[in-house]
Amino acid sequence: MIVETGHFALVLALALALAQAILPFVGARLRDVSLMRVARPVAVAQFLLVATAYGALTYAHVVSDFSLVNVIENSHSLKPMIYKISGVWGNHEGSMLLWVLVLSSCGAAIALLSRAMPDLLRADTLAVQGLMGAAFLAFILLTSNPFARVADPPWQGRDLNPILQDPGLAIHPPLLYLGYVGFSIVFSFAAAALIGGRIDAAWARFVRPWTLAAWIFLTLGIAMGSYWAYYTLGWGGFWFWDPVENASLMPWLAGTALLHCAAVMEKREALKVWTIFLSILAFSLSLLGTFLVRSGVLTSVHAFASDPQRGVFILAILVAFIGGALALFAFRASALPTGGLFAPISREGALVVNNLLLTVACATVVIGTLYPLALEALTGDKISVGAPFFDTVLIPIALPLVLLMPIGQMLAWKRGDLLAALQRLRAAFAAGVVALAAFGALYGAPVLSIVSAGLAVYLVIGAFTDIAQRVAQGNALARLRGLPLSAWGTSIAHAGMGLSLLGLAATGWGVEQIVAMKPGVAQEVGPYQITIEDIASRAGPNYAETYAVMALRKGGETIARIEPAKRFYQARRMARTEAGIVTLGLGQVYAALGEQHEDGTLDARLYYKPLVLLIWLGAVVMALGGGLSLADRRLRIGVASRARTAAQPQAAE
Amino acid sequence: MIWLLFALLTGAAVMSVLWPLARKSDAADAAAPDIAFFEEQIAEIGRESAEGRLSAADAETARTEAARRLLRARGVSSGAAASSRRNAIVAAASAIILIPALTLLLYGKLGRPDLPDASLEARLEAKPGHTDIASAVARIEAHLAEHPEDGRGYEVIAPFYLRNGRPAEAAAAYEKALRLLGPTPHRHNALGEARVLASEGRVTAEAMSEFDAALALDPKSAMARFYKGLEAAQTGAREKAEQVWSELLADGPADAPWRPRVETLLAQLRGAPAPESAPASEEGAKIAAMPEAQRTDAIRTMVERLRGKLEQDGADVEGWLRLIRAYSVLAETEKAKTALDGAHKALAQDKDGLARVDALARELGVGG
Repeated sequence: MIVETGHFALVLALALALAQAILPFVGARLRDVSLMRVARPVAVAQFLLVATAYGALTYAHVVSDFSLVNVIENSHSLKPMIYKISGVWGNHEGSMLLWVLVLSSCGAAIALLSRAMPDLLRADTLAVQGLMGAAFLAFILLTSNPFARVADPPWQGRDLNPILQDPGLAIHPPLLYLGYVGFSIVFSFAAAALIGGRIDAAWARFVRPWTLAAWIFLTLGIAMGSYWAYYTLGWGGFWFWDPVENASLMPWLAGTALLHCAAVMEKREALKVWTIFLSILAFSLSLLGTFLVRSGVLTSVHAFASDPQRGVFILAILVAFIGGALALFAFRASALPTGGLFAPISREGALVVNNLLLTVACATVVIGTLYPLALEALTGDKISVGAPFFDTVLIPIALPLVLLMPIGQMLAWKRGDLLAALQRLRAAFAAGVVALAAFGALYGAPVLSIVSAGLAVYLVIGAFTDIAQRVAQGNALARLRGLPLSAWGTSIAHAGMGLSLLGLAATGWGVEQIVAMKPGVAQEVGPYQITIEDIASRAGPNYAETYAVMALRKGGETIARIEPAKRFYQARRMARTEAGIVTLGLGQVYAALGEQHEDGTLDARLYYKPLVLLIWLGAVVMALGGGLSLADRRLRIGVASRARTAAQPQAAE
Repeated sequence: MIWLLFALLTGAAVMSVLWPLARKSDAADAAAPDIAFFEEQIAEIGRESAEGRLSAADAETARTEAARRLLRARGVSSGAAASSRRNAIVAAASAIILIPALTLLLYGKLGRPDLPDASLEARLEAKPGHTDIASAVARIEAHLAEHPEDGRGYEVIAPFYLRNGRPAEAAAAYEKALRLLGPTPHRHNALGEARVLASEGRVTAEAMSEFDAALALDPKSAMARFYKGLEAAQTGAREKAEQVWSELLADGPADAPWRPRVETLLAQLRGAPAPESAPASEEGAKIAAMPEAQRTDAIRTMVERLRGKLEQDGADVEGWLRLIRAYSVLAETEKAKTALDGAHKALAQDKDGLARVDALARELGVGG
């Protein structure tokens, strides 16, 4: 009864989503307040229904109800509880349901948190959100119904893909979806602004928290996914320029650009049309990502099932929403009131440069991802666009961007003074150069790593220079307290970027060994020695594993023991490696097992990765900065200052 | 009962539409939120400058700008937005009719209100008798999940796996039983046999080590000697195989159930080289040398390729026989059945071919 109630609730949610799409929209056109206000309770009710459905599916997974096809195909009664719960979204149908759950929760959030919003804007926004919900609910019910039943249930399921049986599955998809789908709100706001033909600083103010929240979740989701891939795939890599990874990077780049230009719009009422465009772009790229992952166009760990019918359906949704929004944009953008002008050397100007670079980076990723697909579709040739392409194009974009980030922070709104800004950054420049020399002396080549590491240190110091100099003006404590949280947010997020960059730079100094190891014989990995002490087998709940006990020594002293393993999952007849990782400071030593040979040797990949944790810690710090900015409920005030006073501390943020 | 629940849900959903329609909406000024926003912004400027975070000159510029926008917002103010009784009634009526109608229509097509929940635990409790082997297995599996050190359980469950074409799981269960209950010739043999079946009849080194262990405990063990001979035959050591099997026949009782099989194999060995003993092709040899999981995949790929070929050209009787046998070995009963149907269609003209296919199907128990 619980299962069918969930199924019924899902169908009912589709009907309500249609009501949410139609009634408020008609109300907005008729200027009828009661009709417009239908949006709020309906959005909340739709969310509750989808949540009921999701809860019912989770229940079915938890109690191993094998009368559901979805449970048969993706669960196993012996699977640990956490994977029974996270396995709900570890498959196509369940993950689409999670997608819709997040979508409807976004709608409910707008409904509940929009007291101060004009009725018209709210009605149109929720109508667009409802239309999206309806499209995806129809997709789920008609092509990927997680509630499909069998009359004669089997006694055991086929288990979840072993690669997904990992705590990472519990965290990565929900975070990523919150980010992806979070941009749907921004998209809906943009569409509503275009429909209603009104856009101003108040609009930017309503959109800001949603953009920030989506960006935070997306940042964390990507970082989590990257770390998961790093420790679970056994290659020691953390980013493969896999199209599916790119699918999350594209909206992130667009979202980051949006975050910055929305600040311009809120303060100065400029860049309105561009902000709208980026809002549409960010979510369009999220949809594109969903299409790539869910349609079966790509084969990857993320593609649970390839079914052409689903692909066509998602493509139709994609075309309808992106095409519809862009058409709306083309027709209405010229009708929007344009904003103020500003000087090129100013905070606004710097943010425009930021936007240009980020958009170019985003376009690069889009091209690098779609070109091979298009080529394969047209000519049948399979090419792979990988790290060499992206490195060649993105590094020359990213490094100047990093160089400009602290300078932009130093410039005042409306009219800035470049020379003064550069002067104030003297300390940061000096720190960067010292770091460059120090890293060069300590680690040596490659040059790119040294330069990037120097830039990273400059960025971290530069990010806090503004705050430090404001505080140094005397009466430090009062000034610290007076600083708006969003100023802290900016600095911390930029510093996080610097930390990630430092981690990325340090990959150049890592050591990789692919060796046949003999038990008892030490193997050099960077400054450490690794010895296999024992090789043995043991059984887990739904797998059997062979593991090696490895001792990690430095200077004759044992620092740590790791147990890399190879697991074999009976039900799916699949093997996976379980890497042995030990964290030493910010670096890691990483071991993954390969084949075992007759003569007792064991193939192993051994890595020493200095500062590698900074890559992900940096992302966490970025998200923290975003969180501080989000917590700042104050209104942003555009302050125009004269060039002469620009060298003085500004209350700019 | 379940329909009552559905009715309640539907009612609540429709109410979420009706409620705002029924409420008397105070006609709000459409521009009011904007005006409030800019007023708040001006107030914020005042606060900031009072706290000394904004110089007087900056505050003045900012205030001018915000005031300009405020004026503009007031200018836009288009009077009160109305709400009409008629609109509300039309909307309410369509919600009352369309929401339940659409839901019932779609759920009627997709839903299975007749099927109750079927949690594994409830199903196991509902079947306390041992009428159903599958449920018994599920019960033992659940028991083993809680008591992973119960070797008896593994020993009981392993033969079932074997009979159901899950030899790898059988091998894993026997392995645990052996470890937990201690070695006996029988346990070593059972594990070895499961391993042989898991690798499609090939006596691997892993399997052979079990038979060797059994022979160490009981040099007369018939099963271990049988597989020892098979291993020799498969690796091409014909003389050794002949010797092992001949000794086995000489030692064993006259009515031993394995006697006819050994005799046949021995005859094959002495006559022509047995067809299954060595992989027939280069590709087969390559596959045999692969690690287990990879080999299964490779075999499946080959089988799928064969199926594709037969779909193109269905006149190949040998091909159909191979395909049905392959699916049967892979324990893919459904696919074997489909292949049987396919053969019937493709070979409708070929009476003899059809008869052979049907004979094989009967032998393998496919489609019956």
